[in-house]
Amino acid sequence: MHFTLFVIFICFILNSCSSTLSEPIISFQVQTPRPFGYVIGDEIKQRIVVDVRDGMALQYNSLPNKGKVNRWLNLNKIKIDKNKIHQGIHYQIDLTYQLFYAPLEVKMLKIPSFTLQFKQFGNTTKKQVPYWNFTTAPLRELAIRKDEGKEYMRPDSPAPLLDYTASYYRLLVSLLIAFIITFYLAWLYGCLSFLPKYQIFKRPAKRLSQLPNTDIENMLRVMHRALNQLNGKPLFQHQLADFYNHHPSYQQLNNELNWFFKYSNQYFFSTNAPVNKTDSNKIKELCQHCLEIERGKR
Amino acid sequence: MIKSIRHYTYWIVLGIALVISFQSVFSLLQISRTEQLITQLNQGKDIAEERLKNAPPEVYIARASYLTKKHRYKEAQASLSKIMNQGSQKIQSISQYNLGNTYLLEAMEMAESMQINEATALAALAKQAYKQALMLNSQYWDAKYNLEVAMRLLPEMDRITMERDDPIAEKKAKLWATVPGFPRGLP
Repeated sequence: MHFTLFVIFICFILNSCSSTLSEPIISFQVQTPRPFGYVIGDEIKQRIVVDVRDGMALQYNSLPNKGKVNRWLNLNKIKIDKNKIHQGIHYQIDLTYQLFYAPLEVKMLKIPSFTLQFKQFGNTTKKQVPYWNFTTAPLRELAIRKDEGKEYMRPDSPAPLLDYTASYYRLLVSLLIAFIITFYLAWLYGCLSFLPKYQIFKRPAKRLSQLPNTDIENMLRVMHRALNQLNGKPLFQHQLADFYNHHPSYQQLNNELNWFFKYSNQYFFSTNAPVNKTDSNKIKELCQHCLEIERGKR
Repeated sequence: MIKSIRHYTYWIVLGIALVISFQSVFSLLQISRTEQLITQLNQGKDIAEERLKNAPPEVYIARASYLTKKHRYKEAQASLSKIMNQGSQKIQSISQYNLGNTYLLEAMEMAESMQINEATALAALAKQAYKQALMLNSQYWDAKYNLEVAMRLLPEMDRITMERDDPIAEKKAKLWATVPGFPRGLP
C-alpha cells in the first residue's frame, strides 16, 4: 500500500516537472507605470518580460510598428534586450508610447493589446499582451481664458543662450599649457635672470662674438671662466673625467674640450704659442655647443 | 638627437597651444557678437538679413519671435523653416514649438476674419509642429498647453470610445478627419 502511494507521488512530481520544462513560455510579465495622471504629450513606458524555452525565437514583426498606433497614440521607441538564461532565453521588450489626446475632462483610455509570436521548428506560439487602461486629464479649464481679447496661449520660448563653456575651457587649458611651456623655454634660454641656472654660456657666447679673432687671450679667459662656473671650481684637463660624472651631457664635447685645454696650455705656457684664425672660431664653436647643451638642444 | 627632438617638440606644442588659444578667443568673440544680435532682437530691434548669414539657429529663433510679435507670421515661418533640423534636440524642439505658435496665432487671426478654411489648415499645421516639439522633448509644458489649445480649436473628430478604438491599420474609411470649431468663449 505504502509502496503504491510512493510510486504515485513520484509519478506526480515527475509529471509536474516535465510539463514545466516543456512549456514554450516559461514566464510572462507586463510591467506598466501608474494608471492615472497623464496629460497630453506624456510618454508612457510599457515593459514586457518574457522567458521562453531554448530555441524559441521572438518574431519581431509581431510587435507593433513604430509610429502612429492610432489617432492619439504614438509608439516612439522599441527596445528589445535578449539574454541567454539557463532555462532558455530572456526577452525584455521596452515600448515607449506618447499620448496626444486632449480630453475635456478626466477620461479613461487604453493602450491596445497585441499578440507576441514565438517560433521554433515552424511551430508558432502566441502570447497576448493585454490592453492597458489609464486615465488622462486636461491641462486647460473648460471655459476659454482670454488674454488681450484673444484666446490665452503660452508665448514663444526665447532663444537659449549660446553655450560658451567649451570655448572658455579650451582657452583656459591652451593658455595654461602655453604659459608653462613659455616659462620653461624662457628658463632654458636664460631669459629669466632671477633664476641662476641655464645662463652660464649665454653671456660668454655673446662676449666671444664681440671679441676680435686676434684676441685669443681674452677668448680663452672667457671660456675658462664659464667652464669654471659650470664646474663650481676651477676646471683643469686632468679633472675632465670627474667633470663628466657631474655633467654627463658634456661628454659628447670631449674632443673639443681636450683640444681647448691643450691649446690653452700651449698658449699661456709655451713660448711659441701658435695663433691661427681658425682657433678663435673653434673656441666660439665650443662655447656655442656648450650653450646648445645648456638649452637642451643637444 | 633625442634631446634635440624633445627641445623642438616644446616649440611645436607651444605653437599648437597658441593656435588653439587664438581660435578659442575668436570663437568667444563670435558668441559674444551673436548674443548681442539676440539681445537686439529681444529688445524689438530688427537686424539686417545679411547678418543672418552663417548665424547659429538661436539667432533665427530670436528673429522669428521678433517677427511673430510684429504679426509677420509668414516671414517668421520662413525663418524657422531654415533651421528645422539644425542644432541640438533642445533647439529643434524650441524651433518646432515657436513655429507652432506662428501657425496658431495666424489661424486665430484668420478665424476672426472668418477665413475658416485657411484657419483650419493653419491649426492643423500648428498641431503637427507642437507634436514634433513634444516628440523631441516630452516635458515641454508650453508645447503641451498650446497643443491642447490647438486641439480645442480644431478637434480631431474620430474621438475614441472605449469600445471602438481600432488601430489605424484596421481602419476602413476616413470620413470626418477634422471639423473646424473655433469656440468664442463663454458669455
